[in-house]
Amino acid sequence: MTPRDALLEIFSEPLPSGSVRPAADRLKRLAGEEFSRRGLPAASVEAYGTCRRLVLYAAGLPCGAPSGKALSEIFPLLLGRLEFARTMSWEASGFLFPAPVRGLLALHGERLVSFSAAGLKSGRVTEGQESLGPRRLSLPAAEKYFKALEHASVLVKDDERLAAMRAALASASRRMKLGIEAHEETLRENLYSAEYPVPVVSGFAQEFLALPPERVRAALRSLAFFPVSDDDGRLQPYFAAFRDGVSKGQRNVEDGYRAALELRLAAS
Amino acid sequence: MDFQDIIFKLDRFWARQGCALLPPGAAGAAGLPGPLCLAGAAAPGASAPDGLPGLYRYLVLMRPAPADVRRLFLNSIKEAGIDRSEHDLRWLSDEGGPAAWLVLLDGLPLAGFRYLAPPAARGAAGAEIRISLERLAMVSQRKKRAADLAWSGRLTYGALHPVEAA
Repeated sequence: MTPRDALLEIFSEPLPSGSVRPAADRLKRLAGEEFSRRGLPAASVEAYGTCRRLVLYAAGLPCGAPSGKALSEIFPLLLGRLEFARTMSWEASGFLFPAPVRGLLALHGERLVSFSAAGLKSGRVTEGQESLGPRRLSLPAAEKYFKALEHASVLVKDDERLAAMRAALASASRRMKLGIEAHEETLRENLYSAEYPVPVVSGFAQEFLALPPERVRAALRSLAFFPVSDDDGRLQPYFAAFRDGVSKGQRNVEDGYRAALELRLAAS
Repeated sequence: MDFQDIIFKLDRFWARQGCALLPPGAAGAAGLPGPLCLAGAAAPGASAPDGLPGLYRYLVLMRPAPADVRRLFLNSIKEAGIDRSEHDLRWLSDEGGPAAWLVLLDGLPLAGFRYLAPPAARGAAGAEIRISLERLAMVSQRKKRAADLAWSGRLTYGALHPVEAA
């Protein structure tokens, strides 16, 4: 039988942004080890993370009862072996996680991989972007996952999300004819705090440019905003940032971000 | 929506979820043992510093918390006139613990959302929500200054709080 892809999505309440990538790396490593220990040949094993989900995707696993059974043993095992700096028990099962787990999606091709963990039963249902309101997605097959989530405004793959952010900053920079200082750490922070980063460009009162530029840059970075400068590296009274989800009400967000920054600058 | 109408809306919303409404200043009830579901607006001075702007808090305590308590919180601010899709809402994890978030609305603090450790190791967690009523009203009424908020009809927040609003 043709091999099919296997998928495990742990859907939770917001995870601390620094904890997502290490957890996804560990998930990938543990899954690879467990697959080879049991002689399950996978064409590739990848793990992805957003602020709301950890996703394991194993491509090209052979179909049939033995893999189905193995996956329903492996998935809960992996969940139990994830490690985080700070965890808590959220329900009667005593499962430890940084935030309450709200869904377990587990599929192998069209088949449900059935198991229980964290007080939940695995299923084929997940949720899309939260700002669009509660939208439940039922997945017909593992292979449909990434497209379905993208339609629901979630970019699951970290590298795709990062590339979308870089492209958005580059095009905003061209529009403004000014440079955006895309600090790696700030990009990373945004990468794990938005599932669908939408660029926001706003400004601040000219008078704050009288402050030492490093102080202004520090204030911007403390809010995960990006400084804007001219060709000579002189700071301009603008900044770029990301919001999560949709581009409705951009004005509200621009004004709010500006107020948050000016409060920070006034206090610095 | 007037400041006082926001309180009415929140009261009604949380009462529908089974919360007992607290008279102002009765925050000490949170110390009672056993399952609890309390909600209500807290007057100035009734709360410790929490990083939120303004004097007034809307407090909700649910012990144990239902699985959709986070969604309930989002629905409650919708009742207060905030269209979620018109704003950016971020959940900033409190570095001090796994279970606490500062909720930013368009980059500014709106609320604190905290899960409470269950009384037993394998129990269900509780939840405590504190919302800055000033921030909620400023967004709902699209005002830049708390002083300009309509409290009730033509009576403004500034007229009621001449010192803080200055």
